[in-house]
Amino acid sequence: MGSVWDQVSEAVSVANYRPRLRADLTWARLKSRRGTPYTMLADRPRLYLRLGPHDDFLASRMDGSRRVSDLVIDYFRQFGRFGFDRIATLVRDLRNAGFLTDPPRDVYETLDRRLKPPAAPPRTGRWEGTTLKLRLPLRGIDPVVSRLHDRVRWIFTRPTLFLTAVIGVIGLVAFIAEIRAGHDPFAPIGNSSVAGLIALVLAFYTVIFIHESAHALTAKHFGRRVDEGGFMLYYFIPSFYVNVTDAWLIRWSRRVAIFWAGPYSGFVLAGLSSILVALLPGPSLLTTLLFKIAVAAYINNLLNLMPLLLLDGYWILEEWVETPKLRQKALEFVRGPFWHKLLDRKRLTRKEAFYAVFGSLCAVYSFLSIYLAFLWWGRRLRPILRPLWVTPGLLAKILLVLVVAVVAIPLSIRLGRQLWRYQRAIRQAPAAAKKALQTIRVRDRQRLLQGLGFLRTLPAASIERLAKAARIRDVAEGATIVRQGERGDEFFVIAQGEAVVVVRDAGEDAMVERKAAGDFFGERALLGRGIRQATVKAVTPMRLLVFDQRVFWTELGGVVAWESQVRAALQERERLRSVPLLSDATPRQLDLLAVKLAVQPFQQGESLMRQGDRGDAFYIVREGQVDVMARQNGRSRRLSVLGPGEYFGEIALLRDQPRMATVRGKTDGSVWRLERQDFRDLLGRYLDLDAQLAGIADARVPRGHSVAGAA
Amino acid sequence: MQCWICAAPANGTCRFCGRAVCRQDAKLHSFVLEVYPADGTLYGLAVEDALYCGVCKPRAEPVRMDFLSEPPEAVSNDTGKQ
Repeated sequence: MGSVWDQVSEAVSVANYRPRLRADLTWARLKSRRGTPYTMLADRPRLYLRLGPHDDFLASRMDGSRRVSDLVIDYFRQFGRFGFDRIATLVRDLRNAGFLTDPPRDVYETLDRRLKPPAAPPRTGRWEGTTLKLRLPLRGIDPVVSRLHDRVRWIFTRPTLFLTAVIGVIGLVAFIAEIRAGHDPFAPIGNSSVAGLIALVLAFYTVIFIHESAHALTAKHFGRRVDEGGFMLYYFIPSFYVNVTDAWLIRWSRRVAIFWAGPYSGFVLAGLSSILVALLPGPSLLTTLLFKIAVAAYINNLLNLMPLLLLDGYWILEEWVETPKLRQKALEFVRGPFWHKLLDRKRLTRKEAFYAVFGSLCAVYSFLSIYLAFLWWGRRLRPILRPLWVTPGLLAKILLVLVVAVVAIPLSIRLGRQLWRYQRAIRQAPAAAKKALQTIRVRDRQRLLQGLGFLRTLPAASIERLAKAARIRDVAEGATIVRQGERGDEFFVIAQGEAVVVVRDAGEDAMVERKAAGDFFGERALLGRGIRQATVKAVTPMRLLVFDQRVFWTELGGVVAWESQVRAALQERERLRSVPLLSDATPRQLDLLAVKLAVQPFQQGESLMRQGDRGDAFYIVREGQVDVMARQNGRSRRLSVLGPGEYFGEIALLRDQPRMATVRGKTDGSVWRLERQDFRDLLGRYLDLDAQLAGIADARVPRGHSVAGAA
Repeated sequence: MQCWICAAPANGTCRFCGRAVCRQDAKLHSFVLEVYPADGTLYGLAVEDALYCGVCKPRAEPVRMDFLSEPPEAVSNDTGKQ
């Protein structure tokens, strides 16, 4: 038992946390279209998490008996590498999602809420969702869907499916023939164009209702729950929806079948209507209505199969390209990284090019949809509002006010809020444009500076300041840039070309060094008495970044003075990067490790650890070789020889157990040594990279998506 | 004293860990001055904008420390003087 402070340290260490998954979660181990395994972990019907095989390995061990540090060991044994951030992220995701037995708790957040209570309590209206996806949900519909499915189970038999496909194909041919023959989809009913329009709208809602029912019944046919459905304003267009998120727990082909069921129902309905229109005699009320249903179904299918909004076509595409949250990722790429890549003139990968095209199309289509929605509302409200306004009497006016109050005011408020946000963005646009222009100007210099090894440790803000302060100077081949003995007040970084450094000693010139792109010179005069110590001549045409004395001292002085140390640190990091165990680590993680890893030299025959000793550190061979020896039945036996990049002592890192072998230097060399406590500290640091992890966490969670029809 | 983050002259110290911070790098965080029981519940005196360095990690959850209530091991205050 250690001191109280040791115990406090243990108590607050996240490495000691024992995650326990709730027993009532649903697991589904599945494969993607290309056979990549993945796992869905669900708290049905609330939340569904998608895990990769590595995360599955970890999650299945979260039974409350293992600490986070044990999971690190298990992961290490299984995959041969440290999974610090993976484990940290997973534990955090699962806990925040409420999948662990102890829910997350934040006393400061609760305190902040008590200290600063919101001005108005959150509205608990019946409407849910965002402005562009406003839902009026009806929950608990699963039993109804089950009963309906029991009655129409026959529609999923092979003969029925074959027959409906034939009807769909023949019907499409019949529909095209009707259109070519001049059949008007907007034909009036009983000489009334308003009646014709109302009939078309009713046909749309009939089609959408059947479309959504097809989704729900197919999901039920595959044993899924359909807990929610309802009315929705999708991009301001009224429609119905059903939530089939439970389809995440079945294989991808069945999920696609559920998404396809909606458009397929429309295809069959339109086909049947078109065939009847062709078979029934002459134009009549019935053929007019049937033709309107066919038109509504085909248009609805077109809208739904367009993969640019979150409708059936999109969900099918997402399954096909195996990219969860494809639309969100593509839009995010178009908003930010795409422009940075353009500014940096970097080539796009195939995936990025796809994101760029798909994201741009999605953005354009979204705006187009909003515009079309306004047209839709205008067309539908005008015939109702205008007659009411011109009708004499108070009742008509009251009706008009009611219609405006019920439909227009809530929509206007929501739209107003949205526009207010856009207006703010527009107001800030000139300043943003100015900043963007400035960014483009300094971008090239910044790129040059970022490529210089010794400046890698500078924060981005300093690099940017340097880029703004640097002057570009082009130098012709053979020109003298600085001359020995002259006063110097400038510092140079070579962007392009080569130079030689010549020192005159005892009347003779001697070339002492060759400088190339990425090197610098002129610092000695600035750090010393202001006199150049050597002559530098261009041996090729050169481009230099020139910094004056003031910039040198404010931004570069310290960096240059420490350059040798920085170079050494960078070399160490490069060495670490070449260790297979750490090949997945990011530069930042390597920096964190480089600080904690101590270099320990050893000589041939020197013991680094002895069998039976208490283990308290982990080693990676840096240089040379070591012998791993074990004593069995009184005899010492060599188990293996380890070389650079190989490691030993890993189990002792976290567990109190004696060493299983003796390790001795086979040659002279050195090892990196990671102390047990340092390992814990590192783990703690990974667990606190909040902002970074939140992004990853969000990307992992497939939000409950719904299938919606659009009128 | 210099700011822990940027080494500029510091204007205050973090209420949680004591690191010094300048006005620019200082952050605000709620802080519990004292907690007392009354009427069968707990009340706290709190500051909603205490200085915070943003570097240390105030735990968002109470940490179980039952070992503090365990009887202390035999500790000798004997200074060796007889």
